[in-house]
Amino acid sequence: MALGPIEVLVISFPGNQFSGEIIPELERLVDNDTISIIDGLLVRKDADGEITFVEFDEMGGNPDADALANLMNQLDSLISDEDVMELADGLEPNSSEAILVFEHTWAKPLRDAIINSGGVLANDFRVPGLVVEELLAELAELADD
Amino acid sequence: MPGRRRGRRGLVGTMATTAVVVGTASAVSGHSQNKQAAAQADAQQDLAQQQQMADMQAQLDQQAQQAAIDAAVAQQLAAAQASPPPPPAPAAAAPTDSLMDELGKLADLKAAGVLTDEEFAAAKAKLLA
Repeated sequence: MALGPIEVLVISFPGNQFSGEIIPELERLVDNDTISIIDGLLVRKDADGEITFVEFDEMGGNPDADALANLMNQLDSLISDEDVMELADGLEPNSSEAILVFEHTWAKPLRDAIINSGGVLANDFRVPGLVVEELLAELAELADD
Repeated sequence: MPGRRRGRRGLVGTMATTAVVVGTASAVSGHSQNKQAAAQADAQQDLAQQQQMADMQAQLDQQAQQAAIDAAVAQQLAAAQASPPPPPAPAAAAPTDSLMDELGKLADLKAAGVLTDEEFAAAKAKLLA
């Protein structure tokens, strides 16, 4: 079964305050097949800038980490140690960040429907919300003139 | 278990190397479609910029690789100059080859039942003597 589009989310927690507040929302998205979390880990940068990383299921029973580990439907370790170094490049010392890799599961039935209808996906790209807002503001100004 | 993430390509690294290809493909297909909406032209420009960045990255990678190759070559040259030239190999190798051939023939003969175990052992001893 082909995968849907994959997104990598990097969430940093200044001051090493890893917080699981996003977990209920992630649970909701996973439960209703919107996304599927296929890889993830926690990265720490100490005061000297040294980068280390741990798997969610190896965090000594931290309840938030365990909840994330349970949510994961890990395909493989898609993020390599080099990836971690690159993604943690901008991380402040004494901070941690969670790297989550998830599949846009919702897109798969749509893709299948497109294929079954004889259509061809000619282009597929993502526009950041900020870009759209900029354009909308511009259009609104034009309408005012 | 950080070990399983070591020593291989990851998602981010793979993205970086394939971005060049994807960027090129999009830019090419963009050119072939003449009449595009302004928004698409902007998107194309973004793609071109992305491609440029990717190209620059690729160039940097290439330079790094070239530097590594240069270093390796220099090292080999230095090693070659430091150590005496290897002995003339072919002359030494020839008898070994024919010996192996003979042993192989003997083994074949034994396998075919032409030679008994004793005959094979005797012939082998003679060859190796």
